[in-house]
Formats: sequence, C-alpha cells, structure tokens
Amino acid sequence: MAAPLTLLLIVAVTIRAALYRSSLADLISERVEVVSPLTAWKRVVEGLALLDLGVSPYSGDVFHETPLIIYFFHFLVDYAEITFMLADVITAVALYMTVKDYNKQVFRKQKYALEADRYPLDCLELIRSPKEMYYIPLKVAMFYLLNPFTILSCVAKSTCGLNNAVLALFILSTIKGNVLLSAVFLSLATYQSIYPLTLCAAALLYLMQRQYIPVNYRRASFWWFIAQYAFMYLGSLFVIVCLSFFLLGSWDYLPSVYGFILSVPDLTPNIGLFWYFFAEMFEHFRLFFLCVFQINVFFYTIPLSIKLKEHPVFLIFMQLAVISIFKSYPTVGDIALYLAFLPVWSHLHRFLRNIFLVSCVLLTCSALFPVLWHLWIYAGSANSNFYYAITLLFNVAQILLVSDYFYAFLRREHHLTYGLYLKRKDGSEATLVLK
Amino acid sequence: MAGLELLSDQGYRLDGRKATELRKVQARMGVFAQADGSAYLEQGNTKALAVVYGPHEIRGARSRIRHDRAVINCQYSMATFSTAERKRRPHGDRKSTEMSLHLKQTFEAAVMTQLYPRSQIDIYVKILQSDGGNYSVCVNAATLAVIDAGIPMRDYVCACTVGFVDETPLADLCYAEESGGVSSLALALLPRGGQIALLQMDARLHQDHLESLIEAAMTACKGVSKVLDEVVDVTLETGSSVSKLYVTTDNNMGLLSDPNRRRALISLLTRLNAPICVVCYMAGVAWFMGLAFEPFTLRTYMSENAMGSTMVEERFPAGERALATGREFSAHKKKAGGMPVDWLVKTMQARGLEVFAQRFSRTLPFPDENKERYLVKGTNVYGILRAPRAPRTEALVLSAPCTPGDNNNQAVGLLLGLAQYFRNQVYWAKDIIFLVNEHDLIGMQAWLEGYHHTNTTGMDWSPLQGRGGSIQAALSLELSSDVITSLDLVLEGLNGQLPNLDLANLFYAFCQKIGVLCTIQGKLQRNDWDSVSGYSHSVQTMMLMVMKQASGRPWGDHGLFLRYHIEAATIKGINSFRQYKTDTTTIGRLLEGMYRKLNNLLERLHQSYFFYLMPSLSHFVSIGYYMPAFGLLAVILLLRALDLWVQLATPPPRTEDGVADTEQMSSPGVLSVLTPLVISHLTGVALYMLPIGFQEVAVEHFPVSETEAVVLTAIAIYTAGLALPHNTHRLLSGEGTEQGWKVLKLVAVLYLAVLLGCTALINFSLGFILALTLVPVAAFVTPHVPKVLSAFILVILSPACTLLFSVFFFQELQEMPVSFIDGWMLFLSVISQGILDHSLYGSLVYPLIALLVYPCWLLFWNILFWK
Repeated sequence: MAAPLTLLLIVAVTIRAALYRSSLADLISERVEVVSPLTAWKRVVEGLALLDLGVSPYSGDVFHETPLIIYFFHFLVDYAEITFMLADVITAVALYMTVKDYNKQVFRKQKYALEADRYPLDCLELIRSPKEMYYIPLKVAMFYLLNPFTILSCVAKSTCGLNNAVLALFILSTIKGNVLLSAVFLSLATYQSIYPLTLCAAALLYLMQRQYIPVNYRRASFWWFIAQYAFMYLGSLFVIVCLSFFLLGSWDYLPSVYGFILSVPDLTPNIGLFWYFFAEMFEHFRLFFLCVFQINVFFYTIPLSIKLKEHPVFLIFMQLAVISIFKSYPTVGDIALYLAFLPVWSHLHRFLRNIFLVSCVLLTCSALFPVLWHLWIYAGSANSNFYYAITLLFNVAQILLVSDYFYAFLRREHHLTYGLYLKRKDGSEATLVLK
Repeated sequence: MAGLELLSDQGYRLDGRKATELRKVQARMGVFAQADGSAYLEQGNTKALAVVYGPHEIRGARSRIRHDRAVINCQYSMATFSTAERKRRPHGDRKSTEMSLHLKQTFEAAVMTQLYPRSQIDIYVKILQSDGGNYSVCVNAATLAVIDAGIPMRDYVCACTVGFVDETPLADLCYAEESGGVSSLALALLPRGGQIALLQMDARLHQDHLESLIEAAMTACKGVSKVLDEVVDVTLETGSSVSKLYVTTDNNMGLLSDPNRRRALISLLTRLNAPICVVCYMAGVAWFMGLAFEPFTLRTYMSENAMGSTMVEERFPAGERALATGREFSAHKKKAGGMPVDWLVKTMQARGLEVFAQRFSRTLPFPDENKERYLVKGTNVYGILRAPRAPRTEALVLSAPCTPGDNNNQAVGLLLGLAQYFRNQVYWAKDIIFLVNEHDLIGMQAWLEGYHHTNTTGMDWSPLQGRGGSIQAALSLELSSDVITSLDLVLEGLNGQLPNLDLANLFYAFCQKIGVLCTIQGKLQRNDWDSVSGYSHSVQTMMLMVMKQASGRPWGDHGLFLRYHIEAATIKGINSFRQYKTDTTTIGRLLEGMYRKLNNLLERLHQSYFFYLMPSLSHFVSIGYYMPAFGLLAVILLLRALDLWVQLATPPPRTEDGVADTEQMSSPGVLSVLTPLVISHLTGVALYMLPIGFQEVAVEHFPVSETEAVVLTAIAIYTAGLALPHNTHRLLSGEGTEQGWKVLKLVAVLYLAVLLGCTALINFSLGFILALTLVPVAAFVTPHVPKVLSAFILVILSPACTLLFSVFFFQELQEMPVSFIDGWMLFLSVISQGILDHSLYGSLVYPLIALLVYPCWLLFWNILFWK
C-alpha cells in the first residue's frame, strides 16, 4: 500500500506546487471562505514584520495566531510553501495510519463477536469484510489530500493546515494508545484554537477502553486514569503557555488570541454562523448570545459522549464536525478534516437517508459562495443577506450530513443487536424511526 | 307562574339558546384505569362521571342470578357540592333510588344482557355538578362508560329532557327552566332504530301537545347521539395508535426523517419523471413568455426619496449655441484627424473647468475588423466642475464619445454647452466631470482604470492629473443630428450588469415631464397591451433586452462604469419617428433636470432593483418574477439527477450469483467518470487558449487574415471536440458499463445545474438561454436513444448553434432580417467580438462558454456515444 500512497502524495504535492506558481494563488488567499482573520497568511506576515521591528506582533489588532506559530515561521518564512505542503502530507499520513490501525481493531472486535455468536443471524450482510476495508485508509488520505477545500486552504497558506496536522497527530497517538503523546498533542491543539478541548472526552474513552479500564465513576482506577491524563494534559498546556510567555515576554497574546476567538470582535463574513448574527444584533444582547453561541460548541460533548460511549472514534468524528460547524471563525480547511473521515464510515451508506440531497446542497453552496460574493462586493447588486443565506444553507447541509451519519451509525448498531429485519409484534415488517 | 320569562318574544331562552338548541356537550372516555369502563360528560354546566364494572360474577345474594341474561346494577348519587346549596346527601334517599331504577331500566333495554348469563354489570353514576337534566346526562355518560368497557349494546342510549312553554317545546332544559315550572319530559332513545328506552314525565300536559314534545325530544336525542359518536371515534383513533409498536409523528423535518413518506415521494417523482420534466419545461417557457404581458408586470416607480419629492425647474437656454460648438468641434476634429485635444482643452478652460488629458495606448490581441483598429492610441480630455457647496467627496460624470467621421459632434457640443451653463449655477453639491473619450470603450476603460488606480487588462495609460470625488452616477451621451425625434435609453452593461432601476425611472420621469419621446431598445411604448400586436411588441422589446444582456457586451460607453459600482446609462438620440421633433435645448433641459436630481442623492442609488427586465420603459419585471421561469427549467435537471440517483442506489435484481454482480457494480467508479471529465475540460482549455495563441502560425500557413484565423481556429477546435468520445474510449480500457454512463450523467447533470444556476444569478438572460437549449439535451440523452437523430439534435442544441440562432433571432427582432450568408458572416464577427471583449474589457461570456459550458455539453455528447 506504500506505493499508491506515495503516488497520491506526489500528485497532491504537484497540484499544490502548480497552484502556488499560478496567478490563482493570490486570488485564493483573499477568499473569505478559505482564510479567516485567525489563519490568514497575510496577517502572519504582518506579525512577523512587527516582530522583526521589535514591536509586539499583537499590537494593532492584526495578528491573532499563537506565539509558537509566529516563532515557527520566524525560521521557516522562506519555506512557507513547503511547510504547508508538508503539513498536509503529515495530516494525510497520520490519518492513513490512524484509519489502518482503527480498521484492524474493528475487524478484531468483529471477529470476537462472531466467534461468540453475538450477532443475529440475519445480520451477516452487515458484517464487514477485510477486502472492502482494504482501501479505506488510502481513500481517507485521498479524501484529505485531493479535497478542493484542503487544496484551497493549503494554497492560501492558511494556518488551518497546521492545526489540522496537530489534530491528526493527536488522533494518531490516541489510536496507537500512547497516552502521553495524546495529551501533549491535544494540549497543542487546544493551545492553537481552544475548541479541540472537547476532544478530550473521546480520547479518554478510547484510551480507557484500550487499557480495559471500566467507564464507571465508582471505580478508583477510572478516576486515577482521568487524573493521570488531566495531569499530562494540563502540564503540557502549562509548559506551552509558559514557553509562549518567555518567547514573547508578555501576556499580550492571551486576550489577542483567545479573547479574539471567544468574543468574536471581527465580523468579516465567513462560512460560519457568527458574523451576520452579531453584525445585526443590538450591542446589549451581544454578551448573552456570545455565551449561547460559544456554549453551543462545547455543549454537544456531553450527550454525544454518553450516547457514543462505546465508539470513541466515531465520537471524534462527530466532535470534529461539530467544532468545524459551530466554531467562531470556520474555514473550509476545518471542514476538510472531518470530511476526510467519511470513507471510514462507508459501510453506513445503506442507512444514509439524505446523502444525495445534502451533497447536492453542499456542492451548490460551494459554487454559489464566490458568485454571491461577487454580486455583493463587486457588482453591488446583491447584499449581505444573499451571502448569509448561502452560509446558512451550507451549515444546515453540514448539520444534516453529520446527523445523517450519526443516525446511520446508531441504526447499524441497533441492527447488530436486534437483527436486520425487524418485525412488529403482529409480524409485519417494521421500520425504525428516529425521533 | 310569575317572574321568569322562559322564552322571549324573539324566541330566545334564559341562557340565550334557541328553543331546539342543545347545550354544549363535551365528553371523555377512559378516565379511570382501574374500572372496566369509565366516562366523564359535561352537558352545559351539568357534569357527570360514570363508571362501569363487569360483567362479573354476581356478588351478594345468589338469588338475583338470572340464567339467561346479565343483571344490571345501577347506582346514582350526587356529590355534596353539586348544587347551589351544599348538603350531605345520604346514600339511598328516595330521589336517587328512583333515578337508579330509571337508569337500570334504560340500560336493561339497551345492553345485550343475554350475552352474559349469570353475571352482573355495575354502573355507578355520580353527578358532580347539577344544572338540570340530571337523568339525561347520567344516561349519556353511562352509555360512554359502557362502550368504554367494551360491553355490546344494541345502540347508543341517548337521553334528553324537553319542556313545553308557550306552545313551544324546549330542548335540553337547564335548572332554571326546570324549576321555573315547565312541564318537562325525559326521554331515552336508541336513535338508530328510534326505539324509546324510557320515557318519564311528572307534570301535566295536554294530550294534543305530547306528540310534538316527543318529536322534539327525539330530535334532541339524535343530536346528542351524534356528539357521543364523535367522542367514541376520537377516542378509538388516539387509543389505537398508542398500541402501535412504532409511532410516526409529524415533526417539521417530516420529509427528511420519515422514510415512508419520503419513499412515496421519491417513487412518485421517479415514476412520473418524464411527464413532470416536460410539464416543467413548458411551464418555464410559458412563464417566461408571460413576463411580457403587461398585467403581469409592475409599473416603474421612483424608489429613491432624494430624487422623488423635490421639484426642479429646468432653465437651460443655449441649445443653439451648443450646436454651434458642436460644428466647431467637428471642424477641429477633421483638421486634427482625431481628437482635437488642444482645442478641447482650451474650450473647456474657457468655460471655467479644471481640464486634464489622459493619453492611452493599447494593442489589440488581433485586429478588430468591425471597427478597423489594431494599434489604438488616443487621448481622453476631461474637465472637472468643482462643487461650490460641498466638500467634493462625490462626483457625477457626463461623457460623450469622440468618434471618427461625422457622428456625435452634437453630443460634444451639448456637453460643452451644459458645462458652461452648469458652471454658473451655485447649487452643485457634487463635482461634475465632463469627459470626452476617444476610441469609445477603450478610452473609457483607460479613463476608469486611471480614475480608480486599477489595471485589470494590461493597458498603457498615463495617470490622471486631476480627480473628483467618488463617482455616484454617470450618463453617456450619443447625439448625431441637430434635431432628433426620440431618446433611447441603453442599460445593458458589461457581463449583463444593469444599473439601478431608479436611473431608468429618473430618465422616464423627466421624459414624461418635458414631453420628449422616449424609447428602450429603439421601441416606442404602446398602450394596446391587450391586443396581439401590442403583446408581441412588448415581447419583442423584452427579448431584445434579453439578447443584449445575454451577449455580456457593454452596449454603450456606460457599460464599463457598472463594474465600479457606478450606476450608468447611455442616452442615444434617434431619428426614426418622423412626426416628432425635439431640439437640442430640450435635451439639454432634460439632462439638466436629471443631473440636478442626481445632485440631491445622499447615498448611492440602492433603493430600487438591480435585477430586472423591461418589456417597456414604464414597466419592469423584477427578479422575483423572472427567476421562477429559470427555476422551472433547473428543476428538470434536479429531477433527472434524482431519478439517476435512485436507479443507481437501488440494487439490480438479484441473480443467482449476486455477489459477482455487486462486484461489477462498484468497479466503474472513478476512472470512467474522470477520463471524460478531464478530456473534455482539456478541450475547453484548448478552445480558450489556442485561437489567440495560434493566430500567427495560422496566418503563416493559411491564406487568412489574423481575425479570420482566430475565429476559424476556434470553430475548428470546437468541431474537433466532437471526436472526443472515440478518444476517451481509446484511453479507457475495457467496456463501459451501464452503471458507468449513469454515474457520468449524474455528474454531468449536477454540473450543468450548478453552472446554469450560477450563470443565471450573474446574468439571467445568458443563463436562461443556455438552460433553454441545454436542459432538454441533458434530460433526454442516454446511450440507448437512436444515435444519428440524437446526435443531430445534440449538435443543433450545442452552445455554438445556440449562438448562431441567436444571431438570426436578434436580427429578426431588430426587424433587420439577414440572409444565411450574411448571418454566417455576422456569426463569425460575433465570435471575434466575444473574444475581443474578453481580452479588452474582461467580459466573462467567452471563457464561460469555452471553459465550462462547452465541456459540460461534451460530457453529454460522450454519454450519447457511450460504449
């Protein structure tokens, strides 16, 4: 499998390199769908210039990336293109290895269950074969690398690509069962953009399952493990935060990065839900709705982790999707990361209900973003409502997509316990309805 | 019998009812879980609770056993709080014993007691609130309770009390009426058979009235039975659904989450796909044609407040002098052999303007044979009238082109005349820029780029020396004779962009005020919309606008302003309606009025529509009205896509070797779709790049001029694309499968839908015309239709042929029909103009067709020849 992966990497890098050389690169790096005020390369360059002048990069409300990123690029600014391509490659390879490992586990679990005769007889067609699972890791890498969203994000040099790489490494180390690395990468991801914090629930569940620790709050081992993980996580977070402080010599970055993420002062249009809402709102409601919107991102962690206790990897997928839909400055790069996981759930396709409609809407919206932007900003004949309508539709489609997968997943699990062909009490064929 | 008047003269009773009207009856069944049956019933203010136990073994005295039927045991009681005075009601007083007995008799008549020999049925009834008619309410409640217990009855037992007052029977007495000394009668009825289960009467009544009283009682009982029946129905419906295993509920996402309904919808859509598509297509075309029908359009009205209310008086006097200036300009133009820059600068300075000149030069990608130019060099001259009353942050532009030959001299003359007149007025709040541009659009492009510090097309121009504020609006003037008959308004700009409708409204309003004949698309307005010729006239006008908009060209010098958010239009003098005459002074006054109104603007024009079509100057069709026509066409594509998706998603009928079948199904995945996609797009790129890139080679080797070379190369590449399917098949190893073309067609149809949708948003006309021809192609093409005929249809409906037809159609609309040869020459020149427009001004039509529409059409071509 190494050969196709290498070929894929070469193709992906070639496409990116070609686009960097073309005149499209400038156009793409200006698109609001691709870069947000947090991740724009233009702002990183500005921050670097300020740093070189001996001024704090956070003065002047331009630069909002973390100090580590700016010191990272302080050395690598001349190799920025290579860095971003490398970040994409790392993400893809990490996802590839993750999925390979995960598939092995899924298959092993399925084998045990089969040997123990745990599946009803009529569920044989739901059993997954190694043959169909063989290409999934490659498909995942392909979905990430050749996704136009990823390519655009990479060509625009959006630092979102780096965040994705950190997240992918976090997932990889979690799946491999490395507790320390998992905590370190999670703290790095949190440091970058706060929201990945919600992934700790999934990571904990997974790691506990792997070490056969029962998820039971009456057991000491359960609390002991959580304490361990929390210590490693908070410890590394502390180290990173302090490192940033010593690099920069001031705490400027805290309000400028995290305050900026949480209080959403920049209402530049993007593909998220925040900008229009807060642009239209009366100032005295702002704080309240800010809390509502931000809590919204974190809130789903609790019900989802209770429902998906047994399936932490699916939980990670759901969390990534929720974050990328509801975060304050989403870009297409965030979406690309969770879209890469779709091939992993290809066995759910028979249970998906709206996939055609949803993919049509997503496709159309992606095409309409630039068109309506043109009509609004350049032609002046449309206005912001047009653009926001598309944003809204895009997000609704994403939510439908994710909830469709969620439903399909639960339904498959249900069938695996109760049999594929459900009967009503009176013997007629029953249908499952999600309510 | 003094006191109460039980029935008023108007025929109303104490509580406002009519004589035969019942009180409101409400009931609920199954109120207690532990009883076998129970019911609660309200009739007006009388409320009763009934409970049924049984049938069960007889309790107590065995002697009561009946061997052929069940015994019914009734107990009636009243709650202590049921009447106005609260008192203890001992069990078994005479009144309630009597009532129990009555109930017992009633139900023994109704219940099929013979089905339950040696058993007992207990009915307990309690009056919770008493307001007359206790007996009848008890019976009704008990009936429901018995039904709830599932005990078979012959029929509902419905009871009602009736009274007799003033020769009139009153139905359903209340307490006040009962105690008012009415002679009342209680009747229990089995309504279906009309049998009376019980009749009780205490007071005296004349025998003659009995008949009518019983009649009234029976009618009332039937009314009650209807209500009881309904209650039972409702209870049965809701009750039965509780016992269902899975309950489907209506929520707002019903269609998305309810599999049954969705399946039904999808199967309906797939079954009726072809007829729905045809109907949609017809409806789309019909809707579009209906747009020109006057009752379906809106009258134009001024939306902008700043331009609406104020009155201005136009005083421009110097038309004759303007014409004289025009003649002078013409003479100097001839002498200079082009733009008389020095004279113009001097004249403008003499009129008190700040005057500047801008030089520009541009080499066209290939010679423009229509206007005979290749290396273009020229100068724009403009003068700025500084606003005396405001901080000079905004500006208006009046431009006139300096064209070779004898054209447009009067426009320049009028421009200079207006400049002189405007200079002497004090009310200007915006700078006014008077611009004379050379080489029409190229000069305009240079000036606008210079003004806004951009350079999008790689033109050489000298930077502007003087600038006004940001430009709010612009008018471009084209006058070629001293006396004109009417003024024509040209709105269509680059890429089909239109100025805000308020600009057209402003022009129309002033034409009406001053009494100048005004036209749009060179067509006068007609009032006979209800006649056939009137309708076809407005269709013609609208179609001309659609064709012009679809071409994406700027149809006047104003067309490039729109790109910079500046509302602009061209006003053209035409000379074709001989009986009317308008002199230059009047036109000057018109322009003066328009500029004074524009001067009043507080913001940019934004109130009115940006998306519209005009079937006449006084009527318009807004986006909300014309988009459905496009939507109906686009829906066809979505329906076809849905159909294909369903076909792909439903597994083929299982054969014996089902496993092998599914294996084959998954194989025609990526490659068979990707190859045609890539190849057709490469052809598109070739069509876009090669014509200009290859012209030198072509000129060297073939006896053609550069322009011919470009056009012929384009046509050659376009035709060469038709050989594409063979090339694709050579690249694809193996046979294409049935699934393969379906996947390809699904991709192509969705691609086309998105493409047309985006196009229609930016340029409705272009999107609609393309949809009109491409949607049928997309809908019917499969590999299984007759090849030759379909290939012919496909070619006829391809983008290039659409263009060819459009050329003929446009000429027909302008009432200048051409022969086929002339039409063909025109077609060739239109192609070269399209390519030139793209490279000169950045018109998007050519790249759109070459890079996106044509490859998309090639995909359908590919599907037709799928092997």
